[in-house]
Amino acid sequence: MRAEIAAADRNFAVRRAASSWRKAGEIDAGAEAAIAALYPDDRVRTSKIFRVLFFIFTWFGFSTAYGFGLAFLAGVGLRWEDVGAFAFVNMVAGTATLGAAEWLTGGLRLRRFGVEEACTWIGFAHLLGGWLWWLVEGPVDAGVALVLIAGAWAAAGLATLIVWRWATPGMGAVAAVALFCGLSQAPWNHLLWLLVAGLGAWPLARLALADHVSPEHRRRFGEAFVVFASLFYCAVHVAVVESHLFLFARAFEGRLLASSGATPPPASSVTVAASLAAMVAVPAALLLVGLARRYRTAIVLGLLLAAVTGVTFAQRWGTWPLWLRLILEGGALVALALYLRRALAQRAGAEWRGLTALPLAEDRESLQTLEVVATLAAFAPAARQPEAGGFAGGGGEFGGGGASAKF
Amino acid sequence: MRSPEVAEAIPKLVEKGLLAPAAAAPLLRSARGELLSIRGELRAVLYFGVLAIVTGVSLLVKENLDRIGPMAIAVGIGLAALACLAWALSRALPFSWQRAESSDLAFDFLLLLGILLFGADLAYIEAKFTPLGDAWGYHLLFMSLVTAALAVRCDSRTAWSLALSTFAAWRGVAAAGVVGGVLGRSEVALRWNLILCGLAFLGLGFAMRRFDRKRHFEPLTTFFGAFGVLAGVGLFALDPRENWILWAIVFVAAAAGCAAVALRARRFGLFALGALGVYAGVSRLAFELIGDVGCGCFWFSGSSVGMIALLWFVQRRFRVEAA
Repeated sequence: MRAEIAAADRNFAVRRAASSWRKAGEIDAGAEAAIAALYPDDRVRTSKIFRVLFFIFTWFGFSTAYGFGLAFLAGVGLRWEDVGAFAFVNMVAGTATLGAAEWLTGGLRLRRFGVEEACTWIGFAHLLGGWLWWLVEGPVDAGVALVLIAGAWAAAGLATLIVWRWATPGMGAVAAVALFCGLSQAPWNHLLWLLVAGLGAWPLARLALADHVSPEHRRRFGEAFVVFASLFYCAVHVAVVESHLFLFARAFEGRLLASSGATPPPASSVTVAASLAAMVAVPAALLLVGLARRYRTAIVLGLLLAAVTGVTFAQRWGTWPLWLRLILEGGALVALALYLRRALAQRAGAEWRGLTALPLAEDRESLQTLEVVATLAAFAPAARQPEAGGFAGGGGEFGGGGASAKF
Repeated sequence: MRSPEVAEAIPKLVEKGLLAPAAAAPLLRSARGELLSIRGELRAVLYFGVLAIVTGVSLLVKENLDRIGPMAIAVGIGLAALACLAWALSRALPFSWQRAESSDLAFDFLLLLGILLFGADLAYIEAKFTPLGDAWGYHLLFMSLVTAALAVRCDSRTAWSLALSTFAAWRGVAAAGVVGGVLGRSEVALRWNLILCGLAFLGLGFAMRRFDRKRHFEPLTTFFGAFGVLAGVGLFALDPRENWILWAIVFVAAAAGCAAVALRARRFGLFALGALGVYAGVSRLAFELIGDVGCGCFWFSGSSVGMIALLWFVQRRFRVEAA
């Protein structure tokens, strides 16, 4: 990443903090303007909504122009059966959009604007797509496994380069996922996953919090940390262990990476017990590390994985009916939240080991909007078409003020 | 939020008098990663708890109707709803037409749980004992009014959004049964109901602003209204059995009006709705007139560039705040 972009990102972090302080009433508009003057930002940025619109229209415009271009090339003699030419066109288009992203970022100084981010994603998709197209349909007789390996490593490498150059959102996660896709085809794939994910997660978390790393790069390391930790959990999950998923992952191409060919024996009781213990240990470790380091990503991931463990255990051993489990689990979640709120409020300064339930200059409007959207998505009743035969009683809408289940 | 840049900046800002020392202390600790607010996480836990309880209750009613008995279910859910609503009302701030939001992080969710359980109970009673018969859809109207009253009393935007969506669902249920008459087919009736419902919400939003009554509910109400109107008109414009060209023109005009008003009020969410509406409406007209896939590609690529240029101009002209 160019040094001036990293510097602008650092200043932007301060400006954004000032904006949130103003929205929370900690400072007035004059103070915010003074802070903005102290921390100048020479990049062209926009709001979240405009960023999404720019991204959509760039992607849409490019896709239709690409279709138009292909039709034009077909008109001047390009044959669709010519795999090499078609792959070449894709890769040229990908390289051109990556070049456009570089120009937009450097020349026009766009940053978090949507247009340059869309160009990066389009370039990534077309370069990778062209490469995979050539592998699948080209002169080399590549099997599924080879395509998967070559595609995964190419995706990981390209995404890493994009992260290094522009720190485009999402590319950290793509690079990490692609890396593990590639590892899934290696010998001892299960062990490799555990080793790489287990050993790589912590350094990534440290980089996601490191002062010397630029703000956008910190976010990309955070994305990679989430993927590493989640995939480590996947690798120890009892369903994966019992179903021998990693053996199946390597069975794509018996010719290239031969599996034993025989039906694998069932997982031993020791392996299953270790897996079950790890399913408790991983979320607990994430929660402990997150709480100790006050790292929000680890806390949220720990909570989510703990929920997955809870659901898995309930399915494995639970004999209670689903409705009772849901009510009890829901009640337990509400009780837990209320208990934590009360426990934190009773502490001196309403905090415990650096954790508090008080708002810290947060943007309440944005949070409320998010909650309204989530509430409407889950609870808003739907208008229904009349059932055949008309109303027959007993077919009412369950919920009225919200839930839409019929009974 | 943890940020080394902000942590480095705060002492300088205090020194320059731009940030009060008292306010700076917790912000500095937060920026250094020494203090973390888990308010959002606790609210997410509450949300999923409410979601699980409401789903569980709906399954309980469905699967155990005969075993438990209708009266026990109705009374049980009713008591649970009353307990939640009583808790919420006891902790609500005194009523005001202005902002009076409770600062309790659990408030919105327990109010929501009470409303949802009450709605479930009401729907169960209606379905089991059919007091309203064919007019069962009116329980949605009743629920929307009760939810709206509680939302206004407790100053909850979440409950207010639920009241609006329940009201719209009532109109949807009412329209779904219409066949023939002035409104014609049921889908035509549904579209007209969407448009009228949207206009009613727009009117309500205008009144809230005009008379300064729960003014902070107005943006949400107006957004719902604009969405309803555009969705209704848009469905007409997509229907080849209707005079779709006329409807498409009305749709473009309505979306453009929405975008213009939103820009003036600096409401960029509403502006996005209007802008996308204009683009979709004009594309509908253009694509139908062009009628050729190759030219269609040309239209969409050209118009996308045009939209990007327009949005660029708008965001510069209105100095959209970076986020």
